[in-house]
Parts: sequence; C-alpha cells; structure tokens
Amino acid sequence: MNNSADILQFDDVNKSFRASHGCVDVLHSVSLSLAEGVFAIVTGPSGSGKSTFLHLAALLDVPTSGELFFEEQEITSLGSDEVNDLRKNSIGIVFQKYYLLPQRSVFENILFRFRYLDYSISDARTRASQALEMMHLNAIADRPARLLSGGEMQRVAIARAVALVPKLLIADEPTGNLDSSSASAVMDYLRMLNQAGITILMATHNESFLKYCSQHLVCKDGRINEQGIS
Amino acid sequence: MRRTIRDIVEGIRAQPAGVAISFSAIAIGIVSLTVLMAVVGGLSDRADQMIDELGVNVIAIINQADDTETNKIGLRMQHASLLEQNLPDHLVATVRRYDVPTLGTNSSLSVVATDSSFAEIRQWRLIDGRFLDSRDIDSRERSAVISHMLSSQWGWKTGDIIMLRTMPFNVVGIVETGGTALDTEVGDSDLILGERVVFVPKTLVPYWAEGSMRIDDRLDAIFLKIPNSTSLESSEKISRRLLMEPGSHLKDISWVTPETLIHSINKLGNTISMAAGSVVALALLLAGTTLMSLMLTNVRSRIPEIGLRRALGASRRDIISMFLMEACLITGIAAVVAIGGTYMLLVLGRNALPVPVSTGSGTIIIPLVAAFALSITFSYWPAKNAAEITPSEALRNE
Repeated sequence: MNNSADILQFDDVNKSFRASHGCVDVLHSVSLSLAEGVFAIVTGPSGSGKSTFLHLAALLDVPTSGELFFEEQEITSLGSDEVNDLRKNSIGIVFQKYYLLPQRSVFENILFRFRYLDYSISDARTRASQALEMMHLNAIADRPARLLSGGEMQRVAIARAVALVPKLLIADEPTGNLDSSSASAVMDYLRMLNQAGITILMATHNESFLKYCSQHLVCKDGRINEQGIS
Repeated sequence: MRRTIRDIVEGIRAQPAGVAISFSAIAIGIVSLTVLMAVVGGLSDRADQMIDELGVNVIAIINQADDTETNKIGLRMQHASLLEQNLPDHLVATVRRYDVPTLGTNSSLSVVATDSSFAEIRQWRLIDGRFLDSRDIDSRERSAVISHMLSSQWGWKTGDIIMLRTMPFNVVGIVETGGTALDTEVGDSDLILGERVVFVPKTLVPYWAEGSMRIDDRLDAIFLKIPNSTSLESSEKISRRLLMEPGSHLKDISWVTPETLIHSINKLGNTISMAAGSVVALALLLAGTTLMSLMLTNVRSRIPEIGLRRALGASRRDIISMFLMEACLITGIAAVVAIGGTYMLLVLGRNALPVPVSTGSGTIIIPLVAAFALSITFSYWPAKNAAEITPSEALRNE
C-alpha cells in the first residue's frame, strides 16, 4: 500500500533480464519506500543489483513483476509517454560516467537538461545559470566538456541534474571515478541539495559516505534491505 | 528548431569520414538519376516536338527504294495522283529534294520541289511574303520560298533574285521551317530537309539538278493532311491499300505518322531507361546501403548519448526523428549539390550532347523526391533500432 508521504515505493518488485543462456533474475521481491526529503544511500558489492534498482527508481526501466509507485502513481499502469513525462519533470539523474556531450561547453551541457522540456530558451538559460553558480562552475562555463577534469565533469553532471530542481535525485556511483577530495566535494554538494529539500537516492561502494545519509539500503544478491544508521 | 538542427549537425560532425563516403555515394546515385531523368525527359520533349513538326493529322509516306534495283519502283507522281483521286478531302503534297552546291562555298542547300499546300500541311509559319501558290505551280513560275535560316545566314530577302546553279529565281517568301527534331530522328530518310532550304514549284524543270533537264516524276515523299472528320488510322489504311495493291511493285515505302514517331522515340526511351535505369538503380541501392551502414555505425557509437537523451525525456519518436533528420540532411545536401551541378552542366552542354536532354522541373523534382525517399527508406531501420534501445539498456551499455 502506498504511503502518501513516500516519493518512491517498491512493492514486491522483481526484475529479470533475458540473456543468451536464459533468464537472469537481478532483483528479488524488493519492498521498500523512500520518504520525501531523505538522503538514501544504497551500498553493496558489484553485480548485486544496485544499478538495476537505481534504474527502476529513476523510471528508466520497469519492473518484471510487482508494483512501483512514484508519488502515488503506479508506474507499470502508465504508458511510456507518461513515464517519460514523469521522469523528465521530476527526476534528476547523475551517472558515474557523467555522460556529458564532449563537444559542448559546460553551460551548454547544463542547458541540455531542458532539451526535451517545454521551457522557453530564456527561462532555461536562467535556470542553467543558477545551477552553474550553485555548483561554482562559472569560471569554466565556456570550456568544452572534453577538457574538464573528472571532478569538474561530475559537478557539471550534478548541475545538469538539478538545473530543473528535481523531486528525486538519483546518483549512481557519482564519486566512483573521483579522487578523495573531489569525491568529498561532490558529497558536500549532494548534502547541500538534500538540505534544500531534494530527495536523494545514491549508490556507492564507499561506506564512509554513510555519514551523509538518513536511510541506508544494503543490496546483496538481488535483495535490498534497510539497515539502521549507526 | 535551432536545438534540433544543432543535434543533427553535431551528429554529422561526429563521423566526418563516414559522412563523406555516404555523401559521395548519394551524390553519384543522384547525379546518375538526374542525367537519366534529363535524357528521358529530353526524349519525351523530342517526341512532342517531332509531332508538332510533322503535324498532328499528317501522314508522311517516305520513299526508301533504290530505283536502280530490278522490279523495284519508288514513289512516283502517279501515286500522289492516285491518293488525290481517292482521298479528295485530304491535302496532298509531293516532295522531291535535291542537294545543290552553293557557289564559292563547301556547303550546299536543299532545293525542294513541292506543292502549294506543303507549308500548310507542315504547319510552318510564314515570316514574310507568301508560300508557293497554284499559279506558281500551274504556270511553272521561277518563284522560290526560302527558309528563315537561309534568309538569316545569307541575307536573302523577299524580292531578291537568287541563282540556283545558273537559273535566276524570284524569292516570294520566307518561311519558318521549325526545328530539326524530325529531321534528326528519321535519320537518313528524305524527310530531312535541313535548315537551308529553297522551295520551288514541283512543275519546274530541275535546272539545278546536274544532267537533268526534264521533269523527273520520282518523289522522295508524299505528305497527306487528314481532315478532322477522318481518323488517321483509316486514312493510313486506305493509303496503304491504294499504294500497296498487288502488282504495284512499289517497294520500300514507309509510313510515318505521329504514332510511329511516338513508338520509335518510346522504343529508344525504353531502351535507355532499361539500360541506364538499371545502372541508376544499382547506384541508388549502393548509396542507400552506404547511408544505412553509416547510420547503423552512428547509432552504435552513440548509444550512451541515446541513453542520456532518453533519461532527460526524449521519447522514442524524438530519437527516430533525430536520426531520420540527420540522414535527410546528409542526403538532402548531397542531392542539392548533385542535382545543382548536373543541372548546370546539362544546361551548359546540352548542345554538345549526343542525346536530347530536358532541363524541365522533372529533372530536379524527381531526383529530389528520390533522394528524400532514399534517406527515409534506408535510415528508418537504424533510427528505429536506436529508438528501441531502452534508456536503461543504453546507459548500461558501457
């Protein structure tokens, strides 16, 4: 049953993929919920199903079975265009590999957040400028993304994700390719965004970041359990 | 729109080598199609022009017999009389053509001994004066009507006295003999009058013909103008029956009608279409497969970008249209360059080409439409493949 305070709710969700050798079950009976405003961190070993879980949460994929609610709307009952609308308007995604457009400048990459949204050019530019400023990227606004360092690229990716303030920010290993100081800086930005009211769901291998979270989810062998915060 | 154009241009710039190869393949295909369209159009125009020149309701009966052969008789005045008697409502004109060397030059002009109705049958326009009339024919007047080309080139005009060999002739008119489409199409037959022509009464002794000082009743052609009330087919049938009856010994006569002209030009057009068309089809197929290969490579190398776009809200339709528009832009530019270049060359060099070419709108529009169809046909499958990649799959791809 969906709780109205929850932004995301998994109810007995299973996810499997077809492979050449048959069907691979990746997630088993996942039942959990994320309340609005939490900073949730998912930890677990590689191949445990973290990315699949995040893709489901980001509405990039649909469950094989079970129910998935985003703000009280059951996702599997919606058409692909409706899911698309929900994702583009309400969810920001930060990828481990950044996925910046290398030939475009920092500012243009942030502006790309509005590529498929019905915002006027001037409105989109204003919001992109605010994100640029918030992530302290003004100095490199015109630099092509291919010339950035890993830390800078991740900040640009975060700025792109939050240029349109999302209800839910999904971050898949956002510090995976960064050195420790850049990683700490990124975590500080994420905490700042969470304090501004954005719900965050992040996957990481680094358990030292658990200090930032208010909800800890452990992913192991396709099952996700909630762990108490110490 | 600006954002869409930017997406497309960036996609194209990402693979300069592949785009250059596709561009060239498409341009070659479109050039060959443009040339084919120009030639087919040219032949069609030529057919219309030939019919205009012959006349819509006109039959030309052409003598192709060599009278020196035993038992073979060519067209004679008696045959024209036979037609006149049996087809009284038809206009009949006889034609006997002589090549007369021009004094002081290497060129020659055609002297055509004919009837007063010949200009009317051929629907030629009178530029000045008059055509031969019945008085010229009956009284054997040394009147001459010259072609406009002859008048322009040699400065002859109505009222001038001109010399055909040693005999003076009075120029009574100038006539526009039309184009040369019919002449070139009927090859070496006696329909060819050329552009420098002098028309004289058929009843005159051919003073200008070497060694012939009496009227020779051999004819090169008989022209029949069919009245509107009669069908061309029935007139052709009657004339064939009259001239080819058993015992006539009339051999090697051909009937040229608008239908036979259309048939011969269509035959040539079909031959060209079949031969060149298969080459063009192969060239376009090659262009299409090159484009498809480029688009497939493009999709494969841009899977993460597709994932990002889908994650940011692009629908399947957005992804399909992005790749389709990219293919259309490459094809469109290649087509415009190819058509533009070919068209310019055709316009500049049309007179030097061995076949007639048309530079009408079809020469531009059909290759453009073909290029558009080619881009959609050969890029739809790669574009659809791109759109079917789920965002999750695309982002997991790396």
